[in-house]
Amino acid sequence: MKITFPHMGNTYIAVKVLLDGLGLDYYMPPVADRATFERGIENSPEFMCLPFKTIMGNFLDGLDHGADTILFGGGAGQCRLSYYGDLHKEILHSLGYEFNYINLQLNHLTYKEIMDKFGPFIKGISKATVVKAVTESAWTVFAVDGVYAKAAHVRPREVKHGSADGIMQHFEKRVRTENGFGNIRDAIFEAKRALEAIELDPQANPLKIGIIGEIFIASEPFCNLEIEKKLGNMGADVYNTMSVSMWIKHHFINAILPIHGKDHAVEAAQEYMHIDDVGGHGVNTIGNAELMCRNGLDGIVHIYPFTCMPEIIAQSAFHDIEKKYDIPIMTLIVDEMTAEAGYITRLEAFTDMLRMRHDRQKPQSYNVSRSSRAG
Amino acid sequence: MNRGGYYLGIDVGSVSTNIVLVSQDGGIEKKAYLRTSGKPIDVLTQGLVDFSKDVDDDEILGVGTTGSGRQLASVIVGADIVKNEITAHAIASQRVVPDVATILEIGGQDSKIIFLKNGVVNDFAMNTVCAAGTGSFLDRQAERLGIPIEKFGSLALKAKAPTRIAGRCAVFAESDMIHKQQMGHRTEDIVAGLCTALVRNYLSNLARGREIKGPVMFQGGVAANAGIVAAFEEALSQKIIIPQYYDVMGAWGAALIAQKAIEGSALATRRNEAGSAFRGFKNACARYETHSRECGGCSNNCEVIEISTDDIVVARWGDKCGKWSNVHVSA
Repeated sequence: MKITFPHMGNTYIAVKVLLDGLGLDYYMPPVADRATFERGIENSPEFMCLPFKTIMGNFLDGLDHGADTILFGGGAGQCRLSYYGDLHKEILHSLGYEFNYINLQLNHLTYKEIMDKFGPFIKGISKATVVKAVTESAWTVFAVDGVYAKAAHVRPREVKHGSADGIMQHFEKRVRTENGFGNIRDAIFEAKRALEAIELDPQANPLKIGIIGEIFIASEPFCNLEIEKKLGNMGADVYNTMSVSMWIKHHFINAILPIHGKDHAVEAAQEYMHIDDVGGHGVNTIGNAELMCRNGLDGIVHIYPFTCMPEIIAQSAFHDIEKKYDIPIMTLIVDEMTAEAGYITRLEAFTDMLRMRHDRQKPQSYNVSRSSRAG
Repeated sequence: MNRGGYYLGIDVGSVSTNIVLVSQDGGIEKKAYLRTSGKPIDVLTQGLVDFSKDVDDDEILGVGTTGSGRQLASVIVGADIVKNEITAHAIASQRVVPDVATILEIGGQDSKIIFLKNGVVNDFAMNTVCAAGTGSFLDRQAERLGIPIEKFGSLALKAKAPTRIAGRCAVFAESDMIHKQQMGHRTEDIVAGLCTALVRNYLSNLARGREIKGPVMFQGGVAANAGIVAAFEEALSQKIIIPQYYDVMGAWGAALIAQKAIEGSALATRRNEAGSAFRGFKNACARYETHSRECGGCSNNCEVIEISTDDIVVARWGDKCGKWSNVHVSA
């Protein structure tokens, strides 16, 4: 048996740790690979959303490299994610592939489902090994997100431009090739130490920009055209709520452990949308926008794949949120045809605008004379 | 500082390449509105040759570039400031009308709306996935109807009963126009109907229900079209200000931003005497070659663009990792 799995942001690092820990045979499709991406697009319905197409490319590549088992986390919600699994299966079968498809229903994941679906894999593996692998993998998820958050903090403050990017490039190269928890952990510590050693400008006054939206696009640099890096290098502190650790916490940890904390984002969204689910992370998007505004961010970037229904619904609440807090929210819609130049122009204009608004708040006299003229 | 100095502003867009020469008091001394015609480098260098007849290298105190080709222009000319179009347009408009509240801009391939509050950009929107209603589309329709684009707008004003045209999508608009022609509608009525449809489309796509406060300015190449202007005035029930230099506002803004940056920073200590990164007209007007190739260094296969003059590489971009673009290349 050989397993393959799709990419979503940096999840692959934790998945590798898990599968290595269990001693299972697997094939990981290359990260950010144009050729597999294009194959996925070719073999998907044109108006399907970008995550589906990207994942399709990963599956095709995995099966071509000898994998016979696909590991996927789908859903049973109100958006198209609920038929990702069936559609992937149909298309791959029609292309002549034979495989075992394991589709975890992430919306209502239970301990029983995990054990039922993973049972056959861990047969013969000692309980201690399983617990160790799962624990190490969970630690990795949070540690990796910590590294990315640290890099996001350093970028707008570093004295030597590009220092954080250089370290992250080295880190990504390393975790893609290294195997086993020990080595991955070393890479994480190495990156953390290196990031901490970067000289920061104490005078730096970065803008605070939040990222909200569809989780796959928001957390996958290949699809969001490295939005975190771009905004960071334009001098912004980037707060990406749609991180992989949030996703794991949301779907796995809450399913396994009997503690169910309140979902603050869903709660905050109730003012605008009197419903707890519109599919995908639509309600979270609204709630996160509200929470970010309460926390006094300078601006918010909303990003989602073209034709994403839950995010289109969420977008309709922004008018009220922008009005209430006077904080701009810019929506970016991406698909495989997104032209990078127009994308950069929008991000640049947005940060420029936030900078001007930010600076305006300071000189009082200037402000008064201006507004009297405008009136 | 040289009292007779000037600032150069360059806006390389999809349809036009605009160059302005701005004096130290911020006024436009000379302007050029050139058709890009898919050859931005040739058009820009020819334009610069024309400017070099009026000014010397050492009179240029600073250079700003904007537009979709701003990166390219910055390499060729040597720019102090490379800015996006939104900021550039806003700065130039404020120079004309200091308390401008809304800027409508329709260019060759994109359209924007910019809202200002208390003297700074407060919100903006750009067309997202569709180019319906931009200059290129109007160009094409004018050509199809056999009307010179310059006369397109004034023809619309002659209409007595504007025809209703489906304006949501360029493809549907065109087939609807053909249909209306075949039904026997008069050309001026169809042209006026198209203007109304485009304005309706622009407002619903970009303004999205936001309040459009005056003063409202309208700029970009399409502002020359009297039919569109009339349609905007009717839809917004207010007077629209068309600035004198409506067609080169982006370039003007870039020059003004460059001026601010040069005057307000310590750049002067690092660069040549005038403090500018300007490479000089002679260098800027050299012959440039561009090559593109796939990197192949990793699975991402970035398309790397290389710009060279006399076999010396002056710039590279397109790679995600910085392997090529970070390599220091000297001009």
